[in-house]
Amino acid sequence: MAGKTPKKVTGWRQVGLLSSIPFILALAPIIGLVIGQQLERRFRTPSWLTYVLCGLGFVAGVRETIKIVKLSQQED
Amino acid sequence: MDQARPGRDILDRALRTSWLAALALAATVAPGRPRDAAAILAGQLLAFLHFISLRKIVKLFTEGRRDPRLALMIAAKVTLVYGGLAALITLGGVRYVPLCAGFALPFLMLFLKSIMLALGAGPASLTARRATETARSLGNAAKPAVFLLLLGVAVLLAFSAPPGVALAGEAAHGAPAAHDAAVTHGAAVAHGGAAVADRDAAVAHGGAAHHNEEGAAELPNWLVILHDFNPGNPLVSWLEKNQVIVFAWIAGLLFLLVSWLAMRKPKMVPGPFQNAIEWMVESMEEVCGGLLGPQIDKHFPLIGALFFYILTINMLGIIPGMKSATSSLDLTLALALITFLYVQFWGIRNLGIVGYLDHLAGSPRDAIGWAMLPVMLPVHVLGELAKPVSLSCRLFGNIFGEDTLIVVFVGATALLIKASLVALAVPPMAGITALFMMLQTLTSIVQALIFSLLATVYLYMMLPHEAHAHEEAHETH
Repeated sequence: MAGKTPKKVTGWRQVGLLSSIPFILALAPIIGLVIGQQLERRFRTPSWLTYVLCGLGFVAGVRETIKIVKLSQQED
Repeated sequence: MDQARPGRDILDRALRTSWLAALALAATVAPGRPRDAAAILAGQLLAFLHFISLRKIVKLFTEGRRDPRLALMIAAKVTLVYGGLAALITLGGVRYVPLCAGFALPFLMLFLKSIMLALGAGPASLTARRATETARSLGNAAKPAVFLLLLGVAVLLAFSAPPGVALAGEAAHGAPAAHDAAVTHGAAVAHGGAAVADRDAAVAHGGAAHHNEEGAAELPNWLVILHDFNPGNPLVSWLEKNQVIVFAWIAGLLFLLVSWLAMRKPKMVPGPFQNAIEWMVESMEEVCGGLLGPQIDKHFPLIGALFFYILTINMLGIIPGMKSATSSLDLTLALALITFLYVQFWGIRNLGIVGYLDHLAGSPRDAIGWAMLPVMLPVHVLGELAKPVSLSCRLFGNIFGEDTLIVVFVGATALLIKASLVALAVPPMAGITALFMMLQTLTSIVQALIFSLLATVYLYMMLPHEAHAHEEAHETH
């Protein structure tokens, strides 16, 4: 493990992690919405479930974002 | 090499090499096409003048004092380079392809020299840390030969550009083109009635753009061109329809071949090739190992393979006539799904099925935790699902965006050529396109690195370890 400084390695990880936040935030509600629509179409579940899953997707996105920020601040 | 001014030294060396390459090319072409040979040399001369005057201008500009020679130099550059190009094309009737090939040679050499600075055997090399003197001297002798060979192949391909090329702009409008009979090749590109156009538009990338099934413009690869030649052949049609799979397989085979060649006879004192591969693998292991610690040995085969495979696929797209399979969401989603399944597998294996379900449920330990279970379970599941989708969308978006950007600039160059604005349009457009291609090289590496790094991070989040356990315990309290 000689050669690169831990700071440099952590820096790369921070770039990867922090740049994934917009994707996670945007995609998690969309995934919830898609799952909700599929459930509605296939199993005739009530339509409010789609909105609930979309909201839960948003919560999941925020939760993952907090985890990502915490992880990005962690040193090797 | 002069360490005090390495940039200037590289420019001098690139210009010298480009002159040698231009002379060699002109000598090869001269017996059959003397006018093309002269056009190559003229293009090279203009590019040479461009760089020399640019260097003077930059020097005068950075000295900071008001020098009347600055305006003079700018005027001289514009007159000589752009006026020269305009005069050659309008008055001399020179063909665009050899002229642009000659003009592009110094740019290409400069790019190759920059790469060689990092990967070669010089003092600034990143890979020659342990290479023997014999290996260095052999490498130094082999590199110019390989570059000349590649250059020759590229130029021969450019000169024998097949029919089926199209202007990007026209392809974007889906309108069939009616052009000058001398320069038009009649075979329309099969996708969406895209147009066929000027053969000379095939300067960079062998030429052109077409609409794929999703409706996005992209430069044609050799499968599309092959399909234009053999539209009725079922095998060619199948290959052309499944080009993402074909190029993914080509990248995989290339990756395997390079790995095999580098490691078939490993030596304690490695040669440059083995050294370069070892350096890349070690660096990657180091970057991922910082997070996973001793567990990296267990997981590096997948993470390393992901990095090098994605890197190979991305880099394949830079080669004219090839395609980055990662510009298709199908492949990036497949790669992300593999990562997702691998992470979940190790999660179940390490935590056990009950521990895994407990992790998904947010580890409820009290009444409030159990009461929140109907909310926390879908939140966890959605969070896990968002990871592979975000991985795939990011890789796809970046590579697709790069490809589209290059198509737009190649298309714009072709349209400006058509509008007889070659002298003013080609040098800046070719420069910008070359710049984007260099940027594409950088982005290809960064995206492959980020994909594998994030796979490592997701794995780390799933594996049991002290810091993570502590964090979860802290969250529970």
